[in-house]
Amino acid sequence: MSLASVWGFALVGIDAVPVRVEAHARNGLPGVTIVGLPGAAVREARERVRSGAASCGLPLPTRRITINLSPGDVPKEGSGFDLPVALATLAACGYLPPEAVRDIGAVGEVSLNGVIRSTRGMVSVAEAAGEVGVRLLMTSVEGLPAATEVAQMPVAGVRSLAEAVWVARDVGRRDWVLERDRRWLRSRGDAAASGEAGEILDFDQVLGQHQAKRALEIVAAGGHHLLLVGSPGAGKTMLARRLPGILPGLTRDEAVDVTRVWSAAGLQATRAGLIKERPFRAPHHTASRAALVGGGMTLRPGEVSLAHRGVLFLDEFPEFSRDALEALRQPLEEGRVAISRRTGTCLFPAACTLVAAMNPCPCGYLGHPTRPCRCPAAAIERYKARVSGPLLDRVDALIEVPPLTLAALDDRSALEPSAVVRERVTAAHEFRRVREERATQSGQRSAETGNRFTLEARFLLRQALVRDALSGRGYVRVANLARTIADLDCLEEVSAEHLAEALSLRLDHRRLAFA
Amino acid sequence: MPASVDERYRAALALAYICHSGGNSILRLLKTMSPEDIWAAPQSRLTMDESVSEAAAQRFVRSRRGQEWREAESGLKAAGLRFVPFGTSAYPQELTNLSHPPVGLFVKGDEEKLEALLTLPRITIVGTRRATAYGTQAARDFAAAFAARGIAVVSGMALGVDGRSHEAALEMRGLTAAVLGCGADIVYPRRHRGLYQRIVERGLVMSELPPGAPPAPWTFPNRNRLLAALGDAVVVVEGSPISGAMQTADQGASLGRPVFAVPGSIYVENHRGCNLLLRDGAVPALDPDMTVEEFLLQTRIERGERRPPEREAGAALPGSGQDPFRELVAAGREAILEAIAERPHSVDALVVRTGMTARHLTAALAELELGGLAARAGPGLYIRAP
Repeated sequence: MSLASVWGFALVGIDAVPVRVEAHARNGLPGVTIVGLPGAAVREARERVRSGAASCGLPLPTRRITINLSPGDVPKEGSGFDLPVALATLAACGYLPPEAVRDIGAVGEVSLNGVIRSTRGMVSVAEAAGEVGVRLLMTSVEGLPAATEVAQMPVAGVRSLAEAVWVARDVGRRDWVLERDRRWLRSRGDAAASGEAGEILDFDQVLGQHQAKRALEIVAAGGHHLLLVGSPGAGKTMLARRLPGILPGLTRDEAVDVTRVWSAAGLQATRAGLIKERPFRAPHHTASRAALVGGGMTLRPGEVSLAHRGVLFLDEFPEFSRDALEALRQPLEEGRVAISRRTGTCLFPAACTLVAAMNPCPCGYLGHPTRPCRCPAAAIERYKARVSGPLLDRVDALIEVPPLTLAALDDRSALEPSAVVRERVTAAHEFRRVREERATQSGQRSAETGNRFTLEARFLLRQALVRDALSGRGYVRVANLARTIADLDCLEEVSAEHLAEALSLRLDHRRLAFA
Repeated sequence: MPASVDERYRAALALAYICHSGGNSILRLLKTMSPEDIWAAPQSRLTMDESVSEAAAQRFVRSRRGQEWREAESGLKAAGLRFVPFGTSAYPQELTNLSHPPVGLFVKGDEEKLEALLTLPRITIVGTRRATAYGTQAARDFAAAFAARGIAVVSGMALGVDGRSHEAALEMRGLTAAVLGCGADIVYPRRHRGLYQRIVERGLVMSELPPGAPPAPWTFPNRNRLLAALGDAVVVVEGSPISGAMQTADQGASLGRPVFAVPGSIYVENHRGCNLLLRDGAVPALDPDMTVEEFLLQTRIERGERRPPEREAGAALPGSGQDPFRELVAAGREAILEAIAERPHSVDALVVRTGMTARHLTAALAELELGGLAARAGPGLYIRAP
C-alpha cells in the first residue's frame, strides 16, 4: 500500500502537541510536498530525509510523495519532524509495512548521512506520546535519558535512520536495541553517581554575615523573594549562590517539571536525564525582556521559567532594563508566565525564588564605614528609582549586607554546613504542609495567617502600623514572613519575636522606596 | 535726583535678569550706586569702580541693550512671583552687607509672610543631602525647637537636612523660607513637590535667579551666600568637609554670624565637616532648646528691634512626652544599646560583642528601631538613635 502514518510532535511553548504525520506515494511528477502548516525547518525536512535515506541505502523512489501534518491548524516548527516524516515516507514507499509504523512516535533530526540528532522538548514529547497511545517512541541517543524517565512506553534511542527502520520492522532487532539502551543508561548512571564532583558551595564557607544567612534560611523555608543591598565585595553573590544548597531536594515530580522546561529550552544538561539539583539561574543584567520572562519568535521559556522550582539570581538589579524588570511582576506574583500570541496563549511555569542584589548607590559605597561615597545625591535617587515601587513591593524581604569586619573574620563560631540548615528548612516545609492540610480540613481559609498571632505579636504589629513603618501590603508580607519564621521553629502560633524578625526584613523597604 | 519707585523697580528687574550670579562684579556697584543709576550709566562710569573690569563692563552694556523690563514683568506674572528690588523697604537689609548683594529677590508667597520674615529673628539650618538617620533626626529637632520659639527657619529645600528642617518648622506652624538655587517657580529637587507647595502656602520660597532659571552646579554656591546672610546664625547639622553646608557656614562666619555645629561621630565621613567646624571655633549645638537660648543671646536679638513673639507659658515642647513603647522595647536590651552607643556596628560584630545569636539580635534590633532607640548608619549597620 502506498499510504502510511506515524506520530510526530510539535512543540508549542513547552508543551508537545501530537501530530499525525501521513505520507502518500503515487505516480506522478517526482517530488515531495509537505502540507499542514509546516514551518521553514519542517519544509526543509524533505531535503534532509531524501539524502539521509539514500545514505542509509534506502533511496526514495521517483514517485510523487505528499506529506500531511494533522491537525492542520497548529503551526509546526523545528527539525524534530525529520524522523517521523522519514519513517512515514519509507513506509509509504514500501520499505516498511505501514502497520509496523502506525503506533510509533518519533522525534529527531535526520542528518544528510542518516544519523539521528537530538531536538528540544523530549520530556513533553514523551508525556504527549503516552496520551495518544504510542507503543514505541523513537528518539535520538541524546534525548533518550530524559525521555526514558517519563515515558510509559519503551523508548528506543536510534543512532541512524537505518536503525530506525530495523527497529520498526523487526521485533528481535527492536528488543536488542532496547536492551542495549537499558545497559547504556545504567552504566551512565553509575558513572554519574561515582564521579559527582564540581564546585561545592557550602554555607560554612561564608564567614560572618549571620543576618543574611538567617534571611536566606527564612526565604528558603517560605519561598519568599529577597533583595540584598550591600557594597561591592560584601558577599551578596557568594550568599545567593548558596541558596539552592539549603533548599530541600527536588521531589520526582518537581524534577520532571524542571526537566520539562529545560529540555524545551534545549539546555544540554537534560541529556543526562532528569535534573537533580535545584536550578540556579543568574542572567546578566543586559538580558532582554524575552530572555528573562520568555517569548521570542519560537516561544522559548525565559530565565524565570528555567529557574522554576529553583533560584533566579539577578545581580546588579537596577541595571536590568526597566522593561525586563516590569515584566517580572506577573511571574513573581503568580508563579507562572502567560505569553499571548495571535495563535493563542502559552503558559510557562515560573515558581522560582527571586534573589536580587544591588549596591546602595552607583559607586557602591554609600554608608560604608571607611570608604567615602562619591555619588551626587541625584544619582543615588535615580539609581534607587530604577527599582519601581510595585516591583519592590513584590520582594518580600530586604536585607542589607554590611562589609565584613575583622571581628567577624576571626569569629568562626556558629558556622553551619548547608546540610544542617537544609534539614531545618525541610522540616519547616513539612510543618507548613501539615499545618495547611489541617487548616483546610477544619474549614479555615488556609492562607489566612493573621489569626494565629500571640497577643504580644499583635501589639507589635500594631505599633509598626501606628509608627508608619509598614504599608498595607507590607502588613500582609510581614505577616507571611512571620508565619514562615514560626514554621522554622515548628510552632503553631506566631510570637512577638517571630514578628520582630520579620519586621527587620521589611523595615528597609521604606528606606529604599522613600529615602 | 531722586528716582521714582517705578524707575527703581524697572531698572532692578531688568538688571536681575542679566546680573544674578554671585560672581558678577556689576553687583559690587550696588555698594555705591542705585540700580537705576547702574542701568543708565555709560560704560566709562561703570569702569570707574576698580572692581569692574573693562571686559565685564562691556559684556554688561552689550547684554542690557536687548533687555526689556516689560517682558520681564509679564514673565514674572506668569510664574506667580513678586520681585523685591534692592534698596526698597521690603528688601532684607542683611543682604546689602554681601560683597555682591543680589539686585533683587524673586519671591513666591504672601506679602505678610515676607513682612513677618523681615521682622522675625531667623536661623539658617543647612546640612547634607545624604542625611543619615542621625542627621534627619537632628535637623527635625533643631528646626522644631527654633520654630516653636517663633524664629523663622531658613534653608535650601534640598533633599536630606534642608527638607527635613522645613518640614519640622511647618509642622510647628512656624515661618519657614526656602532660598533656591534655581528660579523660585521651579521645584528642585522634584521629590520635594509636596514640600514646595506647603512652603508656598505657609511660608516663602525665594531666589535671586529670574523665573525659569534651571538649577546648575554654580547656582548653589551663589545661593549659599544668601542663606548665610539671611540667617542671624547658621546651624550645620551634618555634612562632609567639602559640602555646600560648609560653604554656607564659612560665608556666615565671614559675615560675622554665629555658627552652630551639631557634633557627630568621629567615625562617620558625613559628620567630619561639623566636627572640623567645632575645632575651628563653631558653637557646639548640643541640645535644641539650649541652642535656641544661646542663639538669642549671641545674636543680641532679645535687645534689638527684632524680637521673637512671647512664648506662651506652659506650652509643651515637641518630643517631651515619654513613649511607653520605647521603655518596653528597651527593657532587657541594655547590652545591645550599650554596644551600639558610640559607633555603628553590624549584626556580625554584635554577635561577637554580646554573645547573642543573629536571629535574636535581628529581632531585638527591629523592635529597637521601631521604638526609635536604634537607627541605621549604613547598610546593615546599627547605631543608638539620637
